Amino acid sequence: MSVLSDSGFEEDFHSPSPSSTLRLISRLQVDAEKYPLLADWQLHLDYDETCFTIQKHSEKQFLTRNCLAQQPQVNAEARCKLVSWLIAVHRHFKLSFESCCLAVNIMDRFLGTTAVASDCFQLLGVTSLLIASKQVEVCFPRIRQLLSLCSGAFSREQLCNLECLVLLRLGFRLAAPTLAFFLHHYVLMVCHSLRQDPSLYSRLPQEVSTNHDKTQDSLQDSLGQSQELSTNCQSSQDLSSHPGPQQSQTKESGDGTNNVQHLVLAERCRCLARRICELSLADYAFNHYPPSVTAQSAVRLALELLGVGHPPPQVCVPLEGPHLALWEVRDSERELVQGCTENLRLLVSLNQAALQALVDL
Amino acid sequence: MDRNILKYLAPNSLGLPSLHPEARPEAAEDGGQSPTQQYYRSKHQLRRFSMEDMTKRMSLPMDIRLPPEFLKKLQAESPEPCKPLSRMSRRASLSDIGFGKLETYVKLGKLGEGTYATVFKGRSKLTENLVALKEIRLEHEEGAPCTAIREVSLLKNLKHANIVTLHDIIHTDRCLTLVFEYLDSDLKQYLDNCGNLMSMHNVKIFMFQLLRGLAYCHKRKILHRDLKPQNLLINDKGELKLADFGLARAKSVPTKTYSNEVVTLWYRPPDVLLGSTEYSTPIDMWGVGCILFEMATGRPMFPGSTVKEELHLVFRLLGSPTEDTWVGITSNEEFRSYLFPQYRPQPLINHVPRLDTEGIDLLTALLLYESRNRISAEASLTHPYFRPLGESILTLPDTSSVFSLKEVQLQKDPGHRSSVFPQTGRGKNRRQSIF
Repeated sequence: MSVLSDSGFEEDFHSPSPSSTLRLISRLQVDAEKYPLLADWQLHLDYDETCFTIQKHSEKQFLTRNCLAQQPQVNAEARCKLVSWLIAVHRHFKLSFESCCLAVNIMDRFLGTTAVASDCFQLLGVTSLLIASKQVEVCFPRIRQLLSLCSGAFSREQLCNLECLVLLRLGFRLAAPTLAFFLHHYVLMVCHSLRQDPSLYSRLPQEVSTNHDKTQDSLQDSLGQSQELSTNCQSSQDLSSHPGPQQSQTKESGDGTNNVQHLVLAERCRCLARRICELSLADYAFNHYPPSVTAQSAVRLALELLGVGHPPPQVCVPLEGPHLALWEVRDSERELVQGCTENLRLLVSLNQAALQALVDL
Repeated sequence: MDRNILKYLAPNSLGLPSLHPEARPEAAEDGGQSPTQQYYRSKHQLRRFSMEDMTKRMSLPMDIRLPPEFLKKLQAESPEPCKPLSRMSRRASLSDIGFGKLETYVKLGKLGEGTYATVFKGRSKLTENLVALKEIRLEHEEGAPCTAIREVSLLKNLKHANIVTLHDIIHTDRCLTLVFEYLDSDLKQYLDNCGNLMSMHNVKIFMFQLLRGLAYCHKRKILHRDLKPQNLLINDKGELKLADFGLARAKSVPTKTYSNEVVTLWYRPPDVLLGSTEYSTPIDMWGVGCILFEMATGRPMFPGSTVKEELHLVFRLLGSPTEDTWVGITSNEEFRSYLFPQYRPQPLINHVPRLDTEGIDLLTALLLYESRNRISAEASLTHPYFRPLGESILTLPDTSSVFSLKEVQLQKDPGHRSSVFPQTGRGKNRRQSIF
């Protein structure tokens, strides 16, 4: 609760007068750094739609399907180990998810052009991460730090040489649309939908109890086993952990608090979907899908796990603009998205311990 | 086989056990539980492939862009122009022509030197066109410079008449040379040259080109982050092109905090001056406003030399920010610590008397304190200020110059000395700005 007071949420839940709503909104602005989604929400979404279309179009040039097909030594299992390690490394350096996704894309595309011996596969991993963070981050890790993570197996010269080689082999084509980009886009759409139609989540308490599918049941079984949480998810966890009665109270109180509720839910959806995306990143099977498809499927699955199913058809109709696209998949992609969602569901059920904490209400 | 395999014979090969202990949470474990992995592995082990496959895959050509006139020439010379070339033979012909080779370009003289790059004026032996050769040293403590990586990777995706073209990339031992189209002048120099008195019609045309290039970037979530007159290159036709994307990056995840030390002070928006690190496309729009002012008046709008002075100049002209104009400003610690006097906003028309009503309106929409309220580049293009340029300018293809329309023509600048445009080769005090 103390965390809630810091962010100004708690007291406003209790006092939904117009003036406090105003105050809440200005507090929300102050809190923008704490709630990344909120920060985006406040920026007008001027270019979002165009940008999505452009990125969706250009992702075709950066696909990494079958990138291991010609590799003599590196296989899907080694890749899985390395990517899982890179995910941990990117957290260690507090790099964005964007860098992480881009690093994996760079690595995969390089693997598609050049045979790599298993004993320098790890070097390729850190080199890709270095290049990706140079492209994306303000501060990127130092070469010395990266080398020390490999416990001195490689030299600075080797890393620099490989960096040049990767850049040249890829022809400096580094601006790949990533899983992180699409994930962000779809979560914003969820945010839109929830804001426009509060009934989606006001139905929530009942549905949570009735709407369990197998995956979620098994997730519930292992409740509380895992304490693992990414640092990014901490704030939303704190928010979402407040008890049920208070939640229903907020639903009845004016616009200002609904504002918070949909953000809280969207934020939890973001955390869960991101975790699902991370799992998919490490699994070579998901190289089969373009990042936009995996991201969309991850968000759908996350909503489902959180108890927000598909909105009934009549809900779709009055919504205008970008958020529609999340629920209405184009025919050409429907099968792909469905297949991907099913594969993700399987992946999630195999890794439920790591995700449980994000699903619990 | 080993010859072709990237291999350093390092110890500790297959396992990756050496991650820092605290940086190793669940990842390695849950990684092992892929549902489909088993399938892939067994399939993989059955796969055999030949040496030939490998060599082919290793010799993929770099993505090289040919100018259209050159392609025409190529086709004319080729006996069977329609016959598709195999990847290998196409590569051979491109490099035979001279793309990707340093010998293809003659250096004509140094234009400038920066911390990590030296820029030369040059000429292509192939096309006889002037080029700017930017030599980047790759040997640095931290490997390839990130500015070079960003600039090349972003520019490769940007093909627009108002963005400087990257013709070629040449990699030689320890050095990377970027071959840009050469533009003779930049906006700063152009203003100097016309005695800081531009024709207001030309201001409009330059402004439109700037916004057109910027809208193209912003749609791709690429911020320029360092807009200033020196970074707007201008050629003898009056075409304006954005240059220097070393500080730009694809803005894919706006939650990421950027450094707030990137934009040159004079064109830096007040929210960034006050330490905001959450910024997005509107940060470029403030600078656009300052540039419009500078073109219309001939002097920089807020030439502060420190952050405090810069903010002071802004508030003195546009009025001290209030909760009405900037929500949350009164609780901004940094703002309060400066203890600025209270200023009332001054009518902009008094400071930019040559700008018409629509122009003032656009300027006002660009110079808003609340960044999300600033007009976007895309929306500015349809602002009434640009109505005199006609309708068809809005539907031009990305790669067409605005001067491809008959109705768009530059006028003589009233303050201009001698010829309409500066001649090449005045050289010495040339401010080449593609650092």
